Amino acid sequence: MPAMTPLTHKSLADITRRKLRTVLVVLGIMIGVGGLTAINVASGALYSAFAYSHSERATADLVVDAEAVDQSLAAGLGAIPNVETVMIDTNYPTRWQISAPPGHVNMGIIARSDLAHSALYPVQLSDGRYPGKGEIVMESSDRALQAFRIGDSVTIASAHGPVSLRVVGLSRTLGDLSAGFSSFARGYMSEEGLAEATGVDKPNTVSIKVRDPNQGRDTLASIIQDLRTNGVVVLDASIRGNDFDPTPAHGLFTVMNALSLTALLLTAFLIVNTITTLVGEQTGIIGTMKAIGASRGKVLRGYLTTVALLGAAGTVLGIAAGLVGGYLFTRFLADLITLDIGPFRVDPGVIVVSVAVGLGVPLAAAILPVLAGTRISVREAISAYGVSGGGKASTRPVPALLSRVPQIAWLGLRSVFRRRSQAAFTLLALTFSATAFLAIQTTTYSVDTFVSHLFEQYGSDLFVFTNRPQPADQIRAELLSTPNVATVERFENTGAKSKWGTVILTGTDDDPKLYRRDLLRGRWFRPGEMGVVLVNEQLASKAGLKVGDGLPLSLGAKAETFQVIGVVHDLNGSLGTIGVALTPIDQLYEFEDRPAGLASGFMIGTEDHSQKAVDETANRLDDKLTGEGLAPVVTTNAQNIKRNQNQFQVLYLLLYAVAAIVALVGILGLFNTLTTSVLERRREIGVLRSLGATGARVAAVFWIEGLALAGIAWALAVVLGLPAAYGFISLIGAVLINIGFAFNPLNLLPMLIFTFVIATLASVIPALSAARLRVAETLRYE
Amino acid sequence: MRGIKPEAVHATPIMSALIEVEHLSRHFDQQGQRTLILDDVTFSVPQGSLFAINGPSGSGKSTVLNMLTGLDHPSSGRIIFGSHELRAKSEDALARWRGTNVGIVFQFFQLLPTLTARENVMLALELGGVLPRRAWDERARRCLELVGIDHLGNRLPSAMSGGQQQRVAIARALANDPPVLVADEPTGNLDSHSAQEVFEVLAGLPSQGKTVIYVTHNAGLAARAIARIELLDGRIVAAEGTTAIVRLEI
Repeated sequence: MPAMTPLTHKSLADITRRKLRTVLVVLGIMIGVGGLTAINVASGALYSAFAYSHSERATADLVVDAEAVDQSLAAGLGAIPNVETVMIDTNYPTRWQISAPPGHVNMGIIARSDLAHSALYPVQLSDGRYPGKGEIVMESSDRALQAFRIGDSVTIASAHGPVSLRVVGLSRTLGDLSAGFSSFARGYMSEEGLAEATGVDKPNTVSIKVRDPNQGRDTLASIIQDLRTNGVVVLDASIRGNDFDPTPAHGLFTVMNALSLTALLLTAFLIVNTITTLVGEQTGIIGTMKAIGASRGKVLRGYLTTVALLGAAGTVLGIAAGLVGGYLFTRFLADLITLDIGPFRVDPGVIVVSVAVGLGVPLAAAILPVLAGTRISVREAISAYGVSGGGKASTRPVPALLSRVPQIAWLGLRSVFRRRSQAAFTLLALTFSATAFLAIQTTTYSVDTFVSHLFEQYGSDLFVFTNRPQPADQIRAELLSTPNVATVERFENTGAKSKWGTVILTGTDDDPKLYRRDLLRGRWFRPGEMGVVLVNEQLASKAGLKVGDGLPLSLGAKAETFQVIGVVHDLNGSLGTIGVALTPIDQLYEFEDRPAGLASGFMIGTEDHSQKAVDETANRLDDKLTGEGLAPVVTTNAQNIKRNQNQFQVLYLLLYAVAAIVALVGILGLFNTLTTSVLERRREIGVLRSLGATGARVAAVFWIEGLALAGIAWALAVVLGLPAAYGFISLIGAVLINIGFAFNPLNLLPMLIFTFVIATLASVIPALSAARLRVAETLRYE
Repeated sequence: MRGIKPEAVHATPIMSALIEVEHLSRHFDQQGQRTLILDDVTFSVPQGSLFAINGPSGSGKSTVLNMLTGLDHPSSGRIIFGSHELRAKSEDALARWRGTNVGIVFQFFQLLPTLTARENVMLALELGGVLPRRAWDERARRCLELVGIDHLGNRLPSAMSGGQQQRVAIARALANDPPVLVADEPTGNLDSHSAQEVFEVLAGLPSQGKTVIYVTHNAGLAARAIARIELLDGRIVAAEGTTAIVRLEI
């Protein structure tokens, strides 16, 4: 008894016969299924990691920044109703000297009396030991900024000048952005160590965990009151949300799912194109099978078996790749944000979904072409067998000018629409590829443009923030006295809560020179005006706000409704925020409950705007303010742009992965068409060779056919690609961050090159196959 | 004035008729013009005969054959195959009928290139569904043995000569033991030596109880038939060894 029936063997042989095509199709399915699996695995693991890390890390619900808080106040604060846990520690912003330009990075040092037993935000020591005097524990991810090991020394800035500290341990702070991603370092010291190194000997941060977060605002008000009663100057107070709120990740995974679905759609396209070609090649065989007794159903089952085998191969490989990729991607994201993944588990549902998609999509895609191809009657199939086919040859005379075109080129061009339906399908695949490529190009260009324009908005060369609010006039004078500093403006922002989400509440001077007022509707602030805001277009759109409406916001213990007096163009944004609200900076300080006349954030405009001069000015400001014990954070526009660009790297990675799939689909679509063309034109090739055509000339016929199809696809994609890009950027804006649509017409050139490269790659094997065909082979019976 | 004079030919039948064709016509309408392929053809095919349909190119030979096998439908007339009238049925129904009642041999062999000779024969068994799977291998071997190429059972068509491929096609046609074998120009694509060998295989089948109907434009091959009709411009103009209505031009 045969192990395999002939029909089953035929289904298998249809796969093994054209190995390259099979490999490309399986690769396409593998990438589609692998991408979906990786995303589902990563999202499941990441959400679990968020929840796991949240449960592992005791976080504060309320945080108060103050001057000189005595540890003895902890007991009294703990007695306030609704307070569950109190921790008083020191948060010391400084700079860490590194070898890479500009020679330092901003750093935050946390000092506690007992790092090993922290009531909140426990320090996970991954290596080494806790620090004593002259020592520091560095965050593991700080090594992305400058390499170091336990035992090395690091140098930080202090009021006493540079201080060298010995690294005795490495830490993992759950929920913190990786230093490589944020360009911000973190370290831990003992209270005594910090006092000896910097002179800061009193804690300045109070962190509170409450029993009932719904009463958080009232509790915060009580805490502030208690501190003030005890003579503590309160500088800032905030109600913290869930440090491990996975909501921003939702947006990222939405975009990734959109890309994964695109990849699957392209995979389906690949299958349709391949099966259409396969069935078209086998018209005669279909006729023969029907002639010797096969029903249409049996013929159909045979081809669907072929598709199922391809799908199974791609699915198995895709799931394996997806599991590995998903795990690696989870680790990558978890390293970015420092999460504990916990035990890595895969939900069986992920596998089920991937199997269903990996088998279902190819079969669903193949149904129509198989149904269409097997509908042919025996008579039609047999009469079409062995005939080179094609439409009617044109009998129109060729204009004299066009007669100069070489005949080889005409042979290629004339064949483009030899089989109209096949050509239409190939054009569809190529156009899809080129369209997706243009959409990806436009998206990355829009992101780059957004990032570069983000800081043009502010018109400053530098931003300066001090660790604590200082007398504004004094600081302004200090800054203006620094060489190359021309203009100084107050500028700060903070996250305020609204019913639609977190708003970036930004304070500017009443009449700013550096902040570019891009007013779209309404008016700017009047001098001394309070209780008003201007909203950016994003916030206006998401919250449905217009001039004259009220915008209720809460910050710390305070809640207030601001009147919207205008709408501005302001691109500032980040994951999890819904837009920008501008307010007079005195209004912002009052809302933050800050003592009058103090400021901690400034925009600086320089006289010499060259990067070298700006960097030197930044260093001078650093040195000056550090020498006064202010521990400033000084950043140039170039540093800010680079940091923002780094944060989009994940998106770029995903987009380029889709670009690779897109190219694959285009190549295979055209490859299928040209392969069929070579098969059907064997006699024509034989005639060309017998007339003296070299292999290169024969190959050129098919290469030109491929280029012609690619050229038409490019033109169609120019029309379709821009709306597709706009749609994708709108999706990113809706779920991640509003980056705005930007298009560079010059991008059409790399897109054209991409399309022609695809055409050439797809033409190589068919063209070589045609070139190597011997005349005798074309005369043999089929 | 030209006309057609029908003349019934009553030859001495060698055996009883297996297939009766009555007033068969076939035309195609294209762009308002009617093209007559077959014009009122009537004949019978004796059972167990080597039956030739002869005529020049374009005389309608293949069209007659296609209608006898259900690959095409007449515009008018009827075909009685055994005791059943071959009515217009669905493609699937006709395919199933062919699988057990007619073995077809094509001019260009039409073997599946990815299957071996034995597998091509077993394909017919799989589609016909007459024998259980455990019997396929032996049956295929016997069919290949019948046509003299059992030793080539594991070869792919690309590794065989034209004559060998045509013999595999004949073996495939015999797989389900149909009463009738139909061959359209079975030697048209072969050299003379191979053609001779293949024809001898076909010619030997009536002695095993098969009725073999073949189309040829070769008068010599047509002369080997026990019964034959000759077509010209869609009409029977000559017949021998069978009952047919011959329609001659006046």
